[in-house]
Amino acid sequence: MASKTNKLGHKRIWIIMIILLLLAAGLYGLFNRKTNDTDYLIGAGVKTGSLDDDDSGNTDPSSNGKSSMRVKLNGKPIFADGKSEGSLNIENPAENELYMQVEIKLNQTGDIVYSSGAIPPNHYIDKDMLSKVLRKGEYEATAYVTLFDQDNPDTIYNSANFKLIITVLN
Amino acid sequence: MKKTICIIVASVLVFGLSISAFAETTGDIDVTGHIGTSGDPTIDPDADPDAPDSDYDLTFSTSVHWWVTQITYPNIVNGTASGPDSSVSNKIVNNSAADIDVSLVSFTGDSVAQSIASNLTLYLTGNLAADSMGTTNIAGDYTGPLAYTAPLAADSAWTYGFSGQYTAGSVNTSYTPAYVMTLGFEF
Repeated sequence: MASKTNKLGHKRIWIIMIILLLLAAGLYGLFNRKTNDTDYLIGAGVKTGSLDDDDSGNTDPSSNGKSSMRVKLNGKPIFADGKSEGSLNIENPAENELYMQVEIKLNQTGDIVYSSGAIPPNHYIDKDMLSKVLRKGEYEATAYVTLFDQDNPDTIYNSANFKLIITVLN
Repeated sequence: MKKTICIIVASVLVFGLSISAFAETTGDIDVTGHIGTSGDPTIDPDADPDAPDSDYDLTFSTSVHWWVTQITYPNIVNGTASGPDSSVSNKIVNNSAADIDVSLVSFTGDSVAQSIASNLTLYLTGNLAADSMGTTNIAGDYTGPLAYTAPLAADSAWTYGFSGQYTAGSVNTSYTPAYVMTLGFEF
């Protein structure tokens, strides 16, 4: 009798464990799903729209399709501390047709401290955390901006580097 | 019984760790920070950090747009050729609130494009960057000077160009070399 109860108890435990694992797997899928149908993973901090409420008066009239690219980002992002979000203000304005991607490296060490993921046109990242915790201080860094066409990923475009001063206040 | 309790505790721990790990990887914890100093009451602790005139806002050409087609056929062999001069215009627009320095970080033959080994003399021209770039090879990287140019003023445009001529090499068909470059920007 005791053996039968024990067996029933084990069965229940296994069922609970399977349910927990299924729940965990479901949550994993939920948090890691791609946000679009392309091969490019759009970063978690990417938002739709523009950083400016009204950017219409500041549009470069020479911009035309994929032949030119407008890039906006903060040259002096500030972080309250090494684990806080900072004012990156990266934007791929609506007038562009190409996707962009931003990677930030510290000049002194070469460490990558931020990677934006793909940013489609008419999307921006106002604030985000660095991938590496930095101590209080000022850091010279470079933002490497690369461009790509999601329809023709083999096409190579010019790229741009932006010098940054990253400030961590605490 | 002890074994059972151990299994349940281990399962709950694994589950809990999994949840916290997923939350961390997605950055789903919405944290907003405020910066202020207790010693300076004039600083609004609810205001976001601000760095005036520190936003880059630039428009630049996405490719060199220089697809040189050789029109002298059949061959250019080891001598100065009367091949075509070719030039293109590219543009940088600085909509930032501050002046920026522009540099040429790299200038590289696009390996995807059809490129046959030949020498090509290139000159970077423009009203702000009239210095010669020196000589580069069709399939190689630019090795000339990469000095900073004059600052590109805020709210202004800078049109620059490349021009060049075949000087030597062995080419027996038309080809369309292309270049990609990396521009550097600095306040």
